[in-house]
Amino acid sequence: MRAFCCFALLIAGAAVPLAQTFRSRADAVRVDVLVAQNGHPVRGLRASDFELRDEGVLQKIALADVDKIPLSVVLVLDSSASLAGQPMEFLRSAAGGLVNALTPPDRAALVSFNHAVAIRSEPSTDRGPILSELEALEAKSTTSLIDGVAAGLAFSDPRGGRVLTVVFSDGVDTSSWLGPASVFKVADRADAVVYGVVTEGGRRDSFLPKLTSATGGRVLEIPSVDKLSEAFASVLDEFRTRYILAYTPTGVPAPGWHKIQVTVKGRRVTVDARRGYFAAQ
Amino acid sequence: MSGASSPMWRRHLALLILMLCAIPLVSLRAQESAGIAGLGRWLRAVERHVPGEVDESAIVVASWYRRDLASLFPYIRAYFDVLRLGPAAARKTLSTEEMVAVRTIAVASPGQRNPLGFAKRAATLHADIAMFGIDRSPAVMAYRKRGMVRRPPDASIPERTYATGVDGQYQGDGESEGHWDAGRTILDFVRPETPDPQILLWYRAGTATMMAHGNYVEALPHLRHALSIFPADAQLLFSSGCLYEVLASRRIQSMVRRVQAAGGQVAVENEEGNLDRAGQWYRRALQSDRNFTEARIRLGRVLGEGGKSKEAVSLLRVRTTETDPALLAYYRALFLGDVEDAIGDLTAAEAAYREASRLFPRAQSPRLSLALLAVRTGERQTLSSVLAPLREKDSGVSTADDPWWSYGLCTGRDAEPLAKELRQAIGELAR
Repeated sequence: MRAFCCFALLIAGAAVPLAQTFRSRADAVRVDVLVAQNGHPVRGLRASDFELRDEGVLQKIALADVDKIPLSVVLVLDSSASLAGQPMEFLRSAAGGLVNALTPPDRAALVSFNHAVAIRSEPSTDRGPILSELEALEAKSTTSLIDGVAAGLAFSDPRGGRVLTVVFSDGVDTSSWLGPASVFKVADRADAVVYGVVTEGGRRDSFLPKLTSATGGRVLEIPSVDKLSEAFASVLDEFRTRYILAYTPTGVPAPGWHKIQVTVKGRRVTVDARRGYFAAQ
Repeated sequence: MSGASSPMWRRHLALLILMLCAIPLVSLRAQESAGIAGLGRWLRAVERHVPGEVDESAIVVASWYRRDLASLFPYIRAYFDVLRLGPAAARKTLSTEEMVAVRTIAVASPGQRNPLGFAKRAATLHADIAMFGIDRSPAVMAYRKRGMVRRPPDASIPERTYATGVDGQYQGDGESEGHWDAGRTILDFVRPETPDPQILLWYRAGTATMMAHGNYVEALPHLRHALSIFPADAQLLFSSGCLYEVLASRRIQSMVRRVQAAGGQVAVENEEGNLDRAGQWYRRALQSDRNFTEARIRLGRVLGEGGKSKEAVSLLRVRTTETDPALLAYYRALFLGDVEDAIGDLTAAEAAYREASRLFPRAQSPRLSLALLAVRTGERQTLSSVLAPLREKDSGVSTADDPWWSYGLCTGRDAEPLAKELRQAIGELAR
């Protein structure tokens, strides 16, 4: 109930009843939105600047103050053999930098993957465990990227705040049990925004672009792992410039898949938001 | 011009012509003697090699370049002709003097008593070199000397280039040293009229090793040749299915895309094409042996991957028997969960994943599927217990925990016992 209260109080401009768990239910929906112009986030927009359609029906929306909602960051990191040596040092340093850049109420968790997936650190405001787990990361074996992302999504709990899932891989999936389609089915229900960071090695794979696009995030391509710190910092900065639109669906059937469309009135901007949500029966 | 007709000039010209004629003669003699000497070294190596040992014989033959090995093959072919057909055998590729030398060697050679047995020993020598990777060891590479036999290479040992990769990343190109081709060619020299169980074992052991080593470039011609000799052998048919199923995997397809992106060409079809071929081979294996459990399970998987979920479900719902290994029961349950999900029966999918998880409690794959099902059905409260093994540290995870991690091995799981069985059988021939 505490989470509900915090979130409800932070809604600016309108009183919108929200479900306790912030989950995608027909009676309260929130949509995490990035607005950009020429690749740069657009700030200072108000609720009245947005139009949101749920199944094509225009909805009355409210805007939440994102600065006051804690983040729940899930790091899903590649620990396959190709990262052995200095790349792993860069990865530890970049991930540590991201964790240390979080504010005290933010939570962080760590999932790593090589051929196996390891949930190394549960979501927590205590930075100690995750930082020591980062130090213990070891590069070996193959790349089960899809399995790792699946664990990260299954594991993300929106009750802790806005969920940001940051995925890093320097390659493509070679050993997962799960296929991309299984993960896409869950991404629609996960209430997490997924950002991917890939090096040249992972550029040609379509899994992360599709996943990030479906959740309203995006993929950042870096030339090499030594640029990872900047990429992670940029993901966090960008995530903090996003808007949260909240609304109670009206005039649309309750259960099942709801397609949503977000636009900004009168501006030539790009809008990244998840493409829809599942409303519970 | 007066000097041109002098006797001194004529003597010099005659000497020059004689010298020019003599150069190819000397060269031809050198070539002949090198070929015959090479045959002698090869015969000694076959005779002395102990199957399964990295002995001097294996090292000597491993040090030969593919081209040299291929150039030696006309002599080896002629040698087996003499063993099979008697001294009258003649090879047009060799000179009369060379054939005389080959006959002399053959009459006194150990292969004379049992040409088939000797061919099997020779094929096993080449198989050992390839299986142990002796031809790629740094010590052998350093020992190499090019141009042992100066003769056009025999077409039976063709050039085979391949792409190498680790974890789906293209690492570079390699070239086959021809030892598997050599073994197959030698066995063809003496092909018996009735199927020979030791030759079949040689092919099965070879295929299993290739699958275990990820040597798919050799496995393709190996299986094609094996099936031309043993067309109804269920194991070989099954191995062909395995090979194409692996070629359809993300690991291989990712590497293929890398090679193509770098401007290279790879003789590997796309995922759909390979899955389709795998399915065809598994069906043929089942036609040969309708109780072939693993062929049925793998056929179910490739059909499911190809979107034919209903047919896949009917194959995968057939339970394994008590005598089948737990590994097969696990694969069946895991793949059944996937296709039950695809046809929309989430309850049956969950039950199948739970069965897989019961068989291998530390396996991650069914647990990940169960976790995703829990999220989809809104039963997040079960996630904590479902994902519990994923919270263990890396050091606690063994590759044996989840049979999915070794699924690509397929017949490669049996590589060691098959190689041991082969070496034992061939070792007894030598005695």
